[in-house]
Amino acid sequence: MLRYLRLYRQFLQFSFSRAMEFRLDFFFRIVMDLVYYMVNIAFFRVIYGHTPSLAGWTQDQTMLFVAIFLVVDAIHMTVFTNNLWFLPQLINSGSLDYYLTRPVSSLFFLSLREFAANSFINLIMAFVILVWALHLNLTVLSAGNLLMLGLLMLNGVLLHYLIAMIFIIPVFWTHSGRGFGDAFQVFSRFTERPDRLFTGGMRIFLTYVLPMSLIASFPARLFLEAFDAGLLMHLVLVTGVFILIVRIFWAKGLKAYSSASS
Amino acid sequence: MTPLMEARAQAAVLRQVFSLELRRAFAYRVEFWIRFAGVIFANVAIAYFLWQAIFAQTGSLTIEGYTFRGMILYYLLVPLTENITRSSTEHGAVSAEIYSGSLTRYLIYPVAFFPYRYAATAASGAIAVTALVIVLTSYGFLIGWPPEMPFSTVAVVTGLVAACYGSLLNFLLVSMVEMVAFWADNTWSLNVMLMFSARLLGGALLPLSLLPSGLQAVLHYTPFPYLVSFPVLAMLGKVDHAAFGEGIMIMTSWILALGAIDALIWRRGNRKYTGVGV
Repeated sequence: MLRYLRLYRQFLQFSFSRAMEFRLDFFFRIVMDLVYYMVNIAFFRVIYGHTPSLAGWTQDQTMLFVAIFLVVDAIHMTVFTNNLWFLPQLINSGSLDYYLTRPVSSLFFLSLREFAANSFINLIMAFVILVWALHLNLTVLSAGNLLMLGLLMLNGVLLHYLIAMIFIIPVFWTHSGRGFGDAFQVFSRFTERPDRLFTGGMRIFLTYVLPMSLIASFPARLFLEAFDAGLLMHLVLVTGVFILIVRIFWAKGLKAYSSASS
Repeated sequence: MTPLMEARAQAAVLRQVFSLELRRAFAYRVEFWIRFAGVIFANVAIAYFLWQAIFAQTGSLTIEGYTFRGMILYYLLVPLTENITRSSTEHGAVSAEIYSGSLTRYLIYPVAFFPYRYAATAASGAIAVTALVIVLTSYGFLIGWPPEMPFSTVAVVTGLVAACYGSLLNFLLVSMVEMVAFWADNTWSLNVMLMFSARLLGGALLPLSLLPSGLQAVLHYTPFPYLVSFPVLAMLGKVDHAAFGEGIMIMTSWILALGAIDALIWRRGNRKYTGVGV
């Protein structure tokens, strides 16, 4: 475990050094994410101009939900996105060999080797929005609740990563440019809406099959509403199942990997 | 070579580029169709559940001129129209050419750079137009258009014209951002920023009639509504002849202005360009 932490510290050092070489891009990224945050907040502000409540939540409660998915997205962008973006290229070019011969888990190395230091400031901005949204919901704020929210958001980041991997791993067989990464981008839009909007088969799909609703909606519900052990159990079980699926899928992908470029 | 022969030769090259790009677009068919169907499915499904909840909550039959069925048709048309207007950025390759130094090869090509790039994106545009026609026809047969927005062939064709013209507007807008690559290390963030802004201010996330009226008045004179909202509303028959003419005039003004700005940036950028890549 300590070996992995030391390795990750090295990844962080390299990433910050590299980010400082591209200062203009660093600035562009900050503005880009600011625009993204404003668009998401503005969207719900406009919606609440036409309805007093949405999926059982007031505007202030929805702002907390928005803040949660922005933080989850920002952590994912900072920690995983760059790695997942380049993974299909490494597989298709046959460059995976270098990582497979390292004395650490290949999944760990390839998922975490590049920390997006240029997204780090955005992570801070997302946390500022979270603090603002928490301020709008002071009545439910407590130390215990806050600690739970932190853990649930980390679980959301993990789940976001696991689902993304399921869309990318098929590149071992398809040899396409991005696997089904584009499809993941499309389906991740469901993360940005409260889960209670969805009913019937769509609800089952988004909470069990492709559990986008578990990334930000469930943490928001567990924080804002009376504690529901069933909801928490659902979250933990689905995350556990997805960890298993990704590990098995990755192992099968490596077996199919021929090391030849295509 | 006479000017006529030269024009014919250039047209032949552009036809060849179009054909090659068409084949490239279908190179990974599974991914292409999953993405295409996925975008439409996600857009309509999210809109369906969101607006179902809002209509139920408010008890209204119409919101800002849209019934529930009208609203869903609007959200069906959004990704189909975006496929056309944004087809001109599918390959987003201007910055990549600058960074790799491969822009140099265009100096010896028998066609100018921008017509070449636009012809390359026209293949995606043609696929998008075909897809829109197929999906709309299927929708009309299977579900039927809402009574307050009856189907009109003239309206759909008018909307398609606006969408194709919008693709040129989008091409010039994105090219302007992409050419920042002559000076900056990365333009990806600028492109994404433009896309986020255009989706909200262009009516892809919400019909613009839901925005405050002051903001709507300002947006009317920006390029954003002409990338999504204007063609979609034209297809729905919500744009009369006078408004359509005015919209096309505003688009033309932006196309001329952006064309001039792009030409200026191109000239300045070429002076800075070394051809060695980064």
